Amino acid sequence: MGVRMKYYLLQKPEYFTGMIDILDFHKYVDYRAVIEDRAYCLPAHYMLLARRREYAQPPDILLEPLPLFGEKAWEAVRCFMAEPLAIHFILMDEKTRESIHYYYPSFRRINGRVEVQERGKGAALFLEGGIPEDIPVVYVQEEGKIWTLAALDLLESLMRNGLCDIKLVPAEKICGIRDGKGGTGA
Amino acid sequence: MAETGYSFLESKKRTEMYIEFLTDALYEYAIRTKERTTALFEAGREKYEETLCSAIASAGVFLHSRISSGKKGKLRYIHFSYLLSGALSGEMLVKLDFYDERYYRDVEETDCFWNCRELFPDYEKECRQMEEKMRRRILRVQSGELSQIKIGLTAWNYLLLKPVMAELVRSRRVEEQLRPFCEERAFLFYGPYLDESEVIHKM
Repeated sequence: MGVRMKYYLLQKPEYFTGMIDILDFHKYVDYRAVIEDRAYCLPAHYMLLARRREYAQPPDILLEPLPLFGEKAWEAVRCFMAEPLAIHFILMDEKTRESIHYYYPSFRRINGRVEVQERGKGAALFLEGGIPEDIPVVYVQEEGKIWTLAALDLLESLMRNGLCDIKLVPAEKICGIRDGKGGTGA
Repeated sequence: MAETGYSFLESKKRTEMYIEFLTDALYEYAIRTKERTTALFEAGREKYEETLCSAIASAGVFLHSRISSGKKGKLRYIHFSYLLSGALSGEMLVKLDFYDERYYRDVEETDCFWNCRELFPDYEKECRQMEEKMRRRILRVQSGELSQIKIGLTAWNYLLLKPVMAELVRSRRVEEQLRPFCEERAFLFYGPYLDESEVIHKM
């Protein structure tokens, strides 16, 4: 499979200490997830957002899936993500009763395997499907993990709109796979 | 708990200290790097011309096939775009885009990059040192604040590269490499990717 556009995997930066900082780093919200009247606790975190700084409303792009949350919360999020039509995720603050609505983007998901080189210098991707040229972001679904893959065009635009505090790993090689095994591209 | 709890995050004084630190550090970097980059370029001009020509040559097969098949006209506009995403990816790339008379409506594209890392050999070291200083000077520095260092340095590299690109594209070797694919008159631009750019040379 030929790839015209340059793609990058999104990862936490190396100096990251365990919390992801949002662009508006003064914000600090204690989140709760509510699924069918059951509340799941999420530790207070900053969220990585890609949005213009001057926006006061909730973000409309959540680029990183939520690997940092506790097990119960991750279970809630996994249920949410498994539902193909569920793109509306409500986080409610138990103390203030404030609710924040996240419109989780329904990016295309492609099954595959990711091999990141040492020190995150580059990555080889083995995908079961092609990346549509007109879609700048896709999820690569590996067993137990979801990677976000974004195109150069989108990332350059996001940088001019304040994207920071994330690591980009160049996808050096993107190949098609058959039967889940690695191989040269179609 | 060191990373949680209360801090002076809302403090005006802290913000002022942070901005002052960043401004001074980036300005000093720009002064040092300008001299260094200029000296490196003058000393190794032929080498940089060669690497840029190699980058252009890597797009040669694509350009030849598209032009000869009629999918693309002869080139009228050539963009050299410095990638700001290099601040987050660790790369230092200039993307080359080739357009015929239709300009942005010419959608026949290929990936063609020139690696300009050798012109900024101290970038990584400068980043590390600045991050260390920031951690010592600014209370409870956030990783988002630290990442502004790399973004600031990358922005300066983009500015410092402009005169270098203007010299390189005027060289005989680079012009000879581009000439077979170009119309009689072609415009060469430099700027951020997919953003405002300016003409640095007319062939």
